[in-house]
Amino acid sequence: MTYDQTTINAYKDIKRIAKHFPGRLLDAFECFSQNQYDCKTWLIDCLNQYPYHFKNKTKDSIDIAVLGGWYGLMAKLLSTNFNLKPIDSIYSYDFDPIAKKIGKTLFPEITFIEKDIADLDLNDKHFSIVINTSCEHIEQNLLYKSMDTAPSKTLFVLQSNNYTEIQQHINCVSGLDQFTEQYDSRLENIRAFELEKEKYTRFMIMGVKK
Amino acid sequence: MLSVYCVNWGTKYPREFTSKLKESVEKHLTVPHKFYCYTDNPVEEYDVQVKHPHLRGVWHKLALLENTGDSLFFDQDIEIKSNIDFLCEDFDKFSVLDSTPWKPKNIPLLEFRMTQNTLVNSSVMRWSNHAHIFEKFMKHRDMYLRLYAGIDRYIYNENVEYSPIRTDKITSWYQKVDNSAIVIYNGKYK
Repeated sequence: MTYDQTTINAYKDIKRIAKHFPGRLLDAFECFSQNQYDCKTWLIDCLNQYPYHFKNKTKDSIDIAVLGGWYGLMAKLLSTNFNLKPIDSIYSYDFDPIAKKIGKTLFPEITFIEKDIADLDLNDKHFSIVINTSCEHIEQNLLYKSMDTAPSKTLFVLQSNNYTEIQQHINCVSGLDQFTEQYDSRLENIRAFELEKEKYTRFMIMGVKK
Repeated sequence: MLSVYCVNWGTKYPREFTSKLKESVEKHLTVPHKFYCYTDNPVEEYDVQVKHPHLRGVWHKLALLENTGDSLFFDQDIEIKSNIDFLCEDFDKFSVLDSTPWKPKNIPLLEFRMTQNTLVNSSVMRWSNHAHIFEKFMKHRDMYLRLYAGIDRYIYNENVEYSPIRTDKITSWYQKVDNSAIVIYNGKYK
């Protein structure tokens, strides 16, 4: 293991979580696990190659929303690895107030917002890109509802999977075809991807809201 | 009338556990009552289909709180050995067992908090009008299922308002007490 200032900073973060939110330490480890990292860097790699036009793409910088942002891993990785456009702000939404507190501590450059997806109005801000990597956790009608609040030409990036063994996974899809069909009527210029994992397959689509 | 509930979901407990529980309740509870078993495999006349197909295992216990009226709940893995009429009081509070008497005393505080441990046990529950507890769980079910291994940890760590049942008439098999009215076999059947 390389021991340098980055390692020291990581231990400082772990210590802070253990001190102030001990019940969330194991959950935070899960949030920042190898699997989470792999799925989110895969997203950014694919997103960086998205060829079609989307809202505000010609502006100098854009705003991005991450729904179900947990402790902010997706937002943080976007802030360092996204290269389609300069980013003005990244908003990480989660209904969990402790996720917001921990996220703000770890990544002060990210804007954490405590909000339930059921109460979300994506028209409030001028997001060019909206990302939701936890579609399998959310009822389909709520996913549609949040999407329908967004303006036309917003680029959506969605991930789901077929990992039905997990109790929280109430909205899995059987394959990429089903996942794409769910959004055919709402998105255009859809690009679809899949990533084989050891126990399941992760699916991803990105498309521009009609 | 008092309702007595149990849950038999999945394959952990063979049907005999439920029939034995029902028989022992009939034998040792003199208060008029009706017995129900919430299950994903209803076969008996007292069986009721579980109402939340997305939930698994112990979380169906929490869903019972949707039922109103004076209610008692017993786990499948308990043994009722003598009269349990003493439980038929204080239905206005949501009550669960105080697990302090059998909880190991040497768990370091940080470990206890990090693992979201608990000092309550829901092998026996009592309530009347507490659907709001289940409603709160369902509102952010996804997060709670991620954070907690079971409802005892959920109840204790999410500050659910509960009243601890403290009585030497209910003991755990860990305590090796022979003369209690109810023995709970928590953790015995994996």
